[in-house]
Amino acid sequence: MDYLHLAWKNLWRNRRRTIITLTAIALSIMLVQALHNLSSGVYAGMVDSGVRAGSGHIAVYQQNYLESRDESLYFEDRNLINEIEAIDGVKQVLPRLYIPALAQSSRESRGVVLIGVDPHREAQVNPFLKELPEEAMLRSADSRDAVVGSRLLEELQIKPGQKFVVTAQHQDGTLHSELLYVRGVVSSGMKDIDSSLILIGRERAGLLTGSLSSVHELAVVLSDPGYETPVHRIIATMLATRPDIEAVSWQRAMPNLANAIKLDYASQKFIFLIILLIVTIGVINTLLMSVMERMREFGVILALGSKPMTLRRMIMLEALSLGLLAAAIGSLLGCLATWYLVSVGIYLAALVPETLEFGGVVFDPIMRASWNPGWMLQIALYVVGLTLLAALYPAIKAGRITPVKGMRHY
Amino acid sequence: MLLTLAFRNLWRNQRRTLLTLSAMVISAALLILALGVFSGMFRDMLASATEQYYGHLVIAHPEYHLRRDLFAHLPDDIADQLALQREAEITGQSPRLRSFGLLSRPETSQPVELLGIIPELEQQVTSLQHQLTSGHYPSAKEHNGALIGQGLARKMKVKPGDELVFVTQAADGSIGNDLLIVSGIFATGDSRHDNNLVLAPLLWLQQVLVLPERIHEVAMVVADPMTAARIADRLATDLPEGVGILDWGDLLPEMREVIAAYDVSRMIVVAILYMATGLGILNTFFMSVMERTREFGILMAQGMRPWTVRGLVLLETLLLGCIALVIGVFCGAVMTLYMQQVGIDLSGYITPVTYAGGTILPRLHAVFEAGNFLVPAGMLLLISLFAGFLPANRAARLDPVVAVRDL
Repeated sequence: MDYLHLAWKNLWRNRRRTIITLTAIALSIMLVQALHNLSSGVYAGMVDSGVRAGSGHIAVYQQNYLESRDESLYFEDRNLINEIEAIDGVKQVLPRLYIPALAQSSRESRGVVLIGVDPHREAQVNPFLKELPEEAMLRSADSRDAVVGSRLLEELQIKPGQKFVVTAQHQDGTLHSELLYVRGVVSSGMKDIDSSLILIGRERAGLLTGSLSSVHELAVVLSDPGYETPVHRIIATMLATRPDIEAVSWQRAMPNLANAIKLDYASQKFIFLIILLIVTIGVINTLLMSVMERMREFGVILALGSKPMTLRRMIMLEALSLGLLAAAIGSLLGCLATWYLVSVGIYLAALVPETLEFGGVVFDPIMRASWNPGWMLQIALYVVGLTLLAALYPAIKAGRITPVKGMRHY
Repeated sequence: MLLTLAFRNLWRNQRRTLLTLSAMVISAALLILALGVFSGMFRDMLASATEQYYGHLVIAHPEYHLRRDLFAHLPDDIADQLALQREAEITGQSPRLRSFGLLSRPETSQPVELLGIIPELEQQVTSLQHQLTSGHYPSAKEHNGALIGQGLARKMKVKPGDELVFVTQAADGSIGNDLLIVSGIFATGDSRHDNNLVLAPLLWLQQVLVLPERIHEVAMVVADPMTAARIADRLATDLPEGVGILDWGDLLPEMREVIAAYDVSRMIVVAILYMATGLGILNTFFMSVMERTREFGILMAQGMRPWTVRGLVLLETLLLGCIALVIGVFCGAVMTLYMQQVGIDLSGYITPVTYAGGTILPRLHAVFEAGNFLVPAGMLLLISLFAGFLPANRAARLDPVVAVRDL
């Protein structure tokens, strides 16, 4: 205890130096924590809207469908939708059919992938449908209504209410056509989506290919992403009787989104690494200077009978108190910054006027952070560890002083 | 004289100076490396959209790109009419006709985008001939040879030599369909091209669409993509009625924004990283000034002006900044060169990522860009001056009488 007290007092002998070092460490902690919380908040938002429009948190497919996207790999749902929906934590199960087709108006034609959906289920979760008014929604699964991307509509040169024809290959090998009417228009801001999206009722889609009660995908949307592992396990046991069907996580079903996040996070980690490296060098410098200044003092202490180990321990304690203090102040600032980023956020649209898409998902114009107390604590402890590591060389240096040489120093 | 003094002062406490220097060098060098890699990603992203598809500049009917209207076409000798080959900055040009339709085999059919091209001209604009996984680039002799993406080939289970039927709506309102023979298969890593794009001879597509001697666009490439907008503006002035020119920024506004925003975010990242470095410099020079209080007192007592003292300290920090800059830029350049020549392949960990209309390839690969060196280097000097300012002021404000008593 006495040593700790001594170390604390030593730390404040050169107040300015300690404060500057403290500032550097604390600001770095704050920065790393705030940036990490910001990006994890943004990632969570991207995953949320990504899984709703895409594969769900967990997706159920026929084996090999994911790799080949072969439209002949559909399966019959046989009450699977209701069974999965009964699992705790599942918000909605979205059955979907994906059918490559040619869409033709009287003037133009485009190759598209028709998405056959269950209108009532889809309307509650799909971000593309959420903003559509009631009169623009598909009326039923067997209606001739279609919800079409805004750019595709423009390219086909038709307007809401007008008709167009889709042609696809029936499972018997012949080409089948269906007449559809444009009911709603989706304008997501993503060129790829707006120029290709066509949502229709799944029964109408099934008529095209002759796969009426079948689906290609069951997208399972959870009420909280935390349920993913347990729900995945339950679905997997449920599917044990049907070996031709598998349940996969969104990371596998939507590698583009998962990888976009991975890549972004990796580059961020590299920046974190540089920051921490520089801070460590700064701490080494400060502690080393403070040791060199006190050579004479250390000589005297040693001459009075202290063991070199005692000196080393004292310097490590100085580093420890510096690190702990910095971690406390830094985390406090980090909490303040995160609180601001959670409640106010950064308004991105002011910086980048175009709609931004990343990994196939529209960037929310307001970037908001999310809380990760465990990670924040971890980074704070990490910095304390680095401070101790940085103190090793100065401490060893101090332990090597001989009383005679030390006392000659001034 | 003052410079020699400053240089010698720097090395009075070698260990401290070296430690501070190392922090500065590390931050500058790693920053240059990181920025080079980020630029490499942006370059890949831009290339995936331009060098594999659009080209840097596109001449088309002014209405064409709004909705890629089948009927907004141009005569196929438009390039000659405009005498584009006289433009030295344009290194390649390719006339194209575009059609959307279904590609069918007995078992399956897939929606595709089909570009009618003249093989030898298209190779000047896009680089797909370097990305073949099997077969060969269609030659001018094959009247219906097609180049298709790898994803599409996998879905349709075809290999070079196989036959496919392309079905679409022709300009006369009839359903046009004709046979294609797969010549080659390409893989760009960009799923939208690999799953969707088919290249076929221009003459063949003109027959299928019943649009003889018509094209939709002339795609062109220039040496430096960043000059495309300027060239487009210049060419736009002499274009006849009914012909327009677009650069890649008009075709991909979101990518233009992202690249413009990169300059800002680069500044922010550099500033944040240097903050920690700057505090280290500040600390070092405070120490060094405090140690020399007595010395400064004597210098001032002998008649050195406060401004000279301030200048001396600032010169020391600036000198340290310059040394760090030289070593840091050198190390950064060496690491960037390594990443440019060798790079790191990430394809085992991640798949390509689409971003702002382009695709980031799964590799770390750096490119040299002046800004990636100038910004970290300039900011390093600024931050050293800035960090030296407080200690320099402190030294200049010393009272000689008090200072000489300091021990």
